[in-house]
Amino acid sequence: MTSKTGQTSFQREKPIIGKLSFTDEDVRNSEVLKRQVENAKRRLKEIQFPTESYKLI
Amino acid sequence: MSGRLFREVFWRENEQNEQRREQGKWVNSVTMQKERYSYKADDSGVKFEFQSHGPNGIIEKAVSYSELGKLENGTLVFNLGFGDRMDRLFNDLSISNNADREKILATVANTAMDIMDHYDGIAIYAEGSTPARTRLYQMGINANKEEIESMFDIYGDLNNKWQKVESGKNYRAFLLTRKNYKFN
Repeated sequence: MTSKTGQTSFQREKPIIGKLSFTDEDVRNSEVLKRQVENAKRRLKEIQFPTESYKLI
Repeated sequence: MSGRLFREVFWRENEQNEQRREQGKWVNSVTMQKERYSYKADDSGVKFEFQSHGPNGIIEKAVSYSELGKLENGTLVFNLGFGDRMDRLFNDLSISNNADREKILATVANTAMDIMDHYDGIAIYAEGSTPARTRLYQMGINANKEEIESMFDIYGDLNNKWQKVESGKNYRAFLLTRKNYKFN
């Protein structure tokens, strides 16, 4: 597969597409994932990125 | 991207890749050498699962990318959520000791490549549930640095500043973008 840069290829297996053993609702209700997401949002707002346009809105 | 479209893109890309291989258009390509688990994705393209096999048995692993928001320039940022899955619950603190750390990290890295393939121009935020877990991510990045950096730019949070990841430094979190992606 060519990358968007058109220079590099990765030969890798693609995932099997199908129904997983967990659902969107499981994700939404997961305290672990909620904590991860909240932490990530906070961190992204706290840390300055080199370019001004990189701000989470 | 709808589930149907996602599937169609997957199959079309697979077909195109096969044609490229047959036509010998894989010159100068970088090949992922690391062993990884086969894994499954759902229609949304943001959820993945696989099984870890080792001395402690079979352990279900889940990867879920959650949208964190948009940057001012419209770039979507996703959080890489990863953990063991038991009875539909996620656990990001368990220590499975299944002697397959490298294989797991390579599998998770593969899911990052998948989501980057299908949602162009996004950024992925990754932070371990503990500093030790974040160091594990870093070890995974270092172990696959050449391959990963051929496709992606990786930034690390060092002392509350994002900078390009370098070996030998301990970062608190990572941000992954497609190579040469311009934020401005």
